Amino acid sequence: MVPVVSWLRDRRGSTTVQALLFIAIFVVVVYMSFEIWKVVSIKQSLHAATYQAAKYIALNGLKWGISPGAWSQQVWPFLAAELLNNPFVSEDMIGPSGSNPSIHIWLNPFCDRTNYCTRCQFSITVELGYTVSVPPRYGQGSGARLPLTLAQSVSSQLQCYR
Amino acid sequence: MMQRVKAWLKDRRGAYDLIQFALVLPVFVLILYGSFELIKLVSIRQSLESGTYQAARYLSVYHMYYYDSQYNRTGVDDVAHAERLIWDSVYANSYISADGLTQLEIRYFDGAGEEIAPPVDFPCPDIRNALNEPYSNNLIFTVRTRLTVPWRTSLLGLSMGSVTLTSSHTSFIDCGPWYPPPRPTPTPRPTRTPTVVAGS
Repeated sequence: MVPVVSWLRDRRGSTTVQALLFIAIFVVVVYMSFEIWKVVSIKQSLHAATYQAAKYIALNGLKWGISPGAWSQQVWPFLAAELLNNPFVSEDMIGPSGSNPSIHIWLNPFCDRTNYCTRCQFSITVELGYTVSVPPRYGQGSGARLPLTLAQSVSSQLQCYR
Repeated sequence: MMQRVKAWLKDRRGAYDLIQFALVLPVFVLILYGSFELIKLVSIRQSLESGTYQAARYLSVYHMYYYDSQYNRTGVDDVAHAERLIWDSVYANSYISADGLTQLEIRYFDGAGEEIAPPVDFPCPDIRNALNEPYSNNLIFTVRTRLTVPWRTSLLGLSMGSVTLTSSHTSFIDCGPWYPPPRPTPTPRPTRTPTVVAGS
């Protein structure tokens, strides 16, 4: 018992212990801010990509008729290309066509298919799956991979020729 | 004299605070300096990003039919104008001086990743007339810019070399709203000629 008590009273090296604790916290904070920066950057690219896709559908969607399924197929390459412009988005993150990012297009059910100038609003939602690596917390052997879905939606309407 | 020095060295009053301060100060200065350096780079990257986006947007629009009031082609150099948008955006940043030697490289790629000439005056009527055209690599293009920051970054005297920022934006060749071709006008039904009853 006595050695433990003397060890607890011994204050030598307390600065080192304190410094180690602070350095560990500091490293985690720096690392997580970099991770958050990556997510924000990808979110910005996702916005640019979704906006382009909505613009494309608004202007050229009628080429493939009033069909959200065909529109999704057409805009997928734009989305993938714009997302891959971001250095934090890797080729293997972008899955085969339609899987990641996934595209959901809502079309106003009251869209008049014979006169597309009226009530043909649509909104495109793009969901991009992403994983954030979280450093190990106290009591954990290894870090966790946190799945995250980044979503962006843009509303528009079919442009009609007048 | 030696006695005094030894006494001063043995004196531990204030040593804890002083050593801690001495340890923390360089780290603090480094972080402060580094964050300012980072702010400058992020700001320039944002300007580059904005310029690249504007150039892609400008190039995506069909300029073939831009005429002056006399219906003459204005002779605007679209490539020069698009690239001017990027330069203007970069020079609008206060951390970049127009006197400095800013290296800016602008390249254009198609949908397949092949380098192309700047997409200007593309044949829109052809694209517009191609009905039910499948997705084509020629319809999308990417503007890619690389800016080498005109100063050499250093970390407390330690040279970190020159920093190159990149940005790219993808856009599509936009020929205006596509609309379904007009339905063929129905051939007028032959109107019944009034029958003339002979002898009436």
